[in-house]
Amino acid sequence: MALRDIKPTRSELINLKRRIQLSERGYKILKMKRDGLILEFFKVLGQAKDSQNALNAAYARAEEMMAVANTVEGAIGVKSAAFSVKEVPQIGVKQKNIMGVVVPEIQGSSVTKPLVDRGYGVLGTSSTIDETASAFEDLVEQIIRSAEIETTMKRLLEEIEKTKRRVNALEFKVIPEQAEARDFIKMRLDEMEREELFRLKRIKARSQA
Amino acid sequence: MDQGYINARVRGMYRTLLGPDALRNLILVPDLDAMISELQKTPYREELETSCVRRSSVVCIEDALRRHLARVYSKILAMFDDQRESREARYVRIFLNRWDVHNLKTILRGKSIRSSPEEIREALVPAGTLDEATLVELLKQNDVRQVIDLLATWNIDYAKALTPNIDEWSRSGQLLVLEHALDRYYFQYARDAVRGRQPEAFALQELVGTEIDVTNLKTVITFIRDGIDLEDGERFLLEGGGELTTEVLSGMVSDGNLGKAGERLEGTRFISLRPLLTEAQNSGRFSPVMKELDWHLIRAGASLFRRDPLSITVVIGFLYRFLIEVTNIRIIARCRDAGLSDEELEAELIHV
Repeated sequence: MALRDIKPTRSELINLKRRIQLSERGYKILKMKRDGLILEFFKVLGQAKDSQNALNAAYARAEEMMAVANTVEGAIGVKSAAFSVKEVPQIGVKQKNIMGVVVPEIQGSSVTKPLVDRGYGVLGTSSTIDETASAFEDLVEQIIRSAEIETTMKRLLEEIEKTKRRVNALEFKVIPEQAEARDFIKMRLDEMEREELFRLKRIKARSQA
Repeated sequence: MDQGYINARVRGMYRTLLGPDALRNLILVPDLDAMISELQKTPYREELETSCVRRSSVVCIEDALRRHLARVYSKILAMFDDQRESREARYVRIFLNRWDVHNLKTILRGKSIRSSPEEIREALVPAGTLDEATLVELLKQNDVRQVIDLLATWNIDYAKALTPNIDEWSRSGQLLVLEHALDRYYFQYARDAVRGRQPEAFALQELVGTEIDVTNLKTVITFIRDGIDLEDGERFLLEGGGELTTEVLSGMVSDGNLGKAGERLEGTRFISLRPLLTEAQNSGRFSPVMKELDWHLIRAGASLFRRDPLSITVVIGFLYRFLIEVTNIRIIARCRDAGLSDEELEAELIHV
């Protein structure tokens, strides 16, 4: 706000004081929000680390089981069993709110299936295939969990950045500028008051002479 | 039928199987390309040349093994062409039928998820009694029902197992119904085919009984692992096992604990599995015990080669030994591809 654009009036001063009060209140609230979001972020970060480790472990296990299945059953056996997967996992996305930030809540259905629902016959299918299927089901579940946590983390981070920018803008730009304008108006009003007093004194002196 | 002549031919084929030294050479090769070069010095050369044009490394080896397996089994089956209905031909078909069951299951599975015929074809092993031309025609059908209809039209025996179950499959949408019917049919055919009082019939009755026992034990272990109730699972237990009756197996499922279930194997040839069952219960890893069961059956089958030099058991024993060879080569290739150590590889190999 350029000082030359400011009208040095009393009403403007009152308005400005109100705006400063509002900005300071907003600043405090946003600062609290930022701190709260940072706390939440660290909580989610802990979960994300665990989830990332679990995802890596699930991926390694699934790969290992696939290698074992290919060794024991051959690619043909694995492929034949894979053909029986008719129902693909479904993903449902809901929303939840963390301190005003909308984050996804991802739910997967038909990911883990009991043996009889996997599609292939119970007889003649080896345990290696079952264990590989289980390992990949775990992997898909872990991917869903990680996706939820990582998206939450990203959204929180974006919101923290946004709030931080607002807090900084209020602290280093808006409030100082408003204070400067308030001081300027005050100074101009004082000056005007002094000029008025001086003028009145001059008139009085002239009329007495 | 001149069984002596067939046995002589099969013994000749047995001599072409890779011996321990050849297998050792394959294990010692540094990579898959060297393994392919090594295999090209063996009877697998022809199939490798065809497969390696289109595929590379481990996929090429697996494809070549599949083709070679199909060629050798077709050759054995062709030896019985003039005596298709003989007892010996029936015995051979018991063994080869398992490939038919595998192929039919794969086609039904592929059709149920509308996979392309080319994709399904890659998972087939035309080593059974259904030849490649029949399988290709089945692949051309649009859905599961049409596949079963074609089997019925051509009067192929498997239609007898599938047709009565079409309604249940339509209602439930579960392919398991049809697969289970195929498995039951396979075992029923095997039991019927080995009836008789000839010495070789006794040997094969024992083998089929062992196969049923092994299949039932694997089913029981799966039920205990997944906590499936006896009521839901009893229909999956097969009758006609050599040593394990349905009562024993049901009792094992009711125990709900592998360690406890193992006690019921007392007095049977499967008692050696008891420590493995307890270990599986504690560790939650069931594949070692399943592998041991598979090996048990394979060893029983392979031992037939030396049982009676004049009977069909030589041919059946050879089929098992050849399967062991193909499986071992595949294991070596896959272990090399996955970068497993020599010790891990050695543990996976099947030794007779």
